[in-house]
Amino acid sequence: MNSDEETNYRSFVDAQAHSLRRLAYLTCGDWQLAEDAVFTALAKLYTRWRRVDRPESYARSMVVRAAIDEGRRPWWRREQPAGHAIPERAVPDRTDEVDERLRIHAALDRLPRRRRAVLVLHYFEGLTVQETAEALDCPEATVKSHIVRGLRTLREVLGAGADLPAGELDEVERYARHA
Amino acid sequence: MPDMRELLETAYAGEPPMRHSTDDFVAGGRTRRARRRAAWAAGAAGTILAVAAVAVVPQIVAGHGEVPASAQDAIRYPVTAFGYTLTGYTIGGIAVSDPVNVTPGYQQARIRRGDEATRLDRGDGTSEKVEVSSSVLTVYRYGVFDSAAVGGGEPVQVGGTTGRYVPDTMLAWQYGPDAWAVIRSAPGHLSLNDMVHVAAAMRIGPSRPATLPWRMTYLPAGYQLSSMGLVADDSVSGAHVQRGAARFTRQPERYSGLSGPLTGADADSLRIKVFPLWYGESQLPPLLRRTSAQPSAGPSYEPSLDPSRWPSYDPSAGSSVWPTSDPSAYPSPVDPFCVPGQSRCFRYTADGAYLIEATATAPEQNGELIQVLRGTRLADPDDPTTWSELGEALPRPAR
Repeated sequence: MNSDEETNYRSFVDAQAHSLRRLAYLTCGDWQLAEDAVFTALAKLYTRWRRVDRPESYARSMVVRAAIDEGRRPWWRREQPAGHAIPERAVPDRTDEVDERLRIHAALDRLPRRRRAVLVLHYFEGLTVQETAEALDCPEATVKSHIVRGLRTLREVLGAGADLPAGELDEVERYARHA
Repeated sequence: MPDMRELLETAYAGEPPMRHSTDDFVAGGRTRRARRRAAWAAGAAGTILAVAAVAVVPQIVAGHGEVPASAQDAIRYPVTAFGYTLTGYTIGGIAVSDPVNVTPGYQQARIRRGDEATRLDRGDGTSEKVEVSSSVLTVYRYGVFDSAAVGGGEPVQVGGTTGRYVPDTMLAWQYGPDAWAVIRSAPGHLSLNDMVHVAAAMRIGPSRPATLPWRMTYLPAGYQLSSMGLVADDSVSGAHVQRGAARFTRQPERYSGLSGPLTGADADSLRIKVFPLWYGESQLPPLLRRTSAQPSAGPSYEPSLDPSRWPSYDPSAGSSVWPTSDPSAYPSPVDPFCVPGQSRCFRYTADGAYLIEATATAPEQNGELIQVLRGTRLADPDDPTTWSELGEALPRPAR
């Protein structure tokens, strides 16, 4: 990597690292695992920088896959955290916002990581079903199935129709018909 | 009513600051590239021409900031503040360990003769046999050791150089320009002849990164890593009972003109130590020992992730509410607890095999130490291959 390429890589990292970590966090539900996933993915990207045409989509795909894989690593299974719902700092957190966040966390935790990744890529990153399938290297039908089942699970946990808008509910039915 | 994206945005609200900087990501990429090239070179050379690998690998590694392992560079110091270049060896029945503690100014290894061991009281009426080291090898970075400390010693030949021997205490010699190594022996442990043999056999190889058996997400503001390793810098010699340690200070320590290793005794330090359960509990006040409190029932160390089993935690009070009279109300193993009246907190690992201790010389709020312990996750302390390099082990401001 020459100096120009490294400058471009640095600019890319500056611009994308935070959003990639959010993407990883939404997939795995743990900030430390998420940052590890981003670190792993961006280190790989560094070695392939010249050969990657679309670094954004490459990094996104690598981060999500790494976030899915991080949970499978034996290193982390030795000890479970005392609870990622514990606040990072010792501050009072019994606010409605935090309660709502914890409720959403609990709902997302009900989803397998791959299914969660599908929802995040599709709804948070705005990828199409085809793009989501490419990012996760799986068939489009699998993506649709994950969307249907994932949204149904969220409906069950969060309360049917209470937090998921009609649009998404319609989408469940639409995907269910084609899945 | 939020849509799906808003719902997901709610989930990541309150995100912590990044541990890695852009430089860290670049360094991670370079390291990965260097490893791949070195692995490729070693593999290719091994398949095609094994002899060629001897020359090729060091050159490739050297091109990416590592120290080459050629004979001309046998004596080098780590290229980073926290790295190892010393490797353990055995000479005449005396074993020098791999480095067990490292600071920006020196690395230290334990010296043990034969099968020296002792038995330590487990606190439950039984004892545990553990290895013991009574002498220590300290290899200083150039310019750090003040040779005046051994100015009155007897001149002694060590390999091709002249060292200084202080009877029954230590042998110091220069392994490079203004770079000293010192063997300090407990009285009667090593003879002069032993020390000279150990000194002459010392070899230093390529720099390799130091690792810790945990990853942690939180340290109180202002602390920087000062020393780290398998054992703490206040207990390099003695029984082998620690499984990882680090000391952090708010004021940077000076590494020049030293007459001996720093122990942090005068510094504003925060320490973390990892012990196997049996030894860790022996360090606790009796009331806080789970095993001694419930000897007949036998401890139950299964992970407890049920929040209803955690002790109450009051952030405004800054500490867990520790039961002082009712042993049945002991906390589950995974939540930290503190010794009343001291800046000293502990946490069992979820599997109950280890006890992590966090202490501070400054009157830190116990809540801070609890946060440190809550944000610390252990690898396998008995398997160094699972340990993490500092870039992953520590929050970025502490590195």
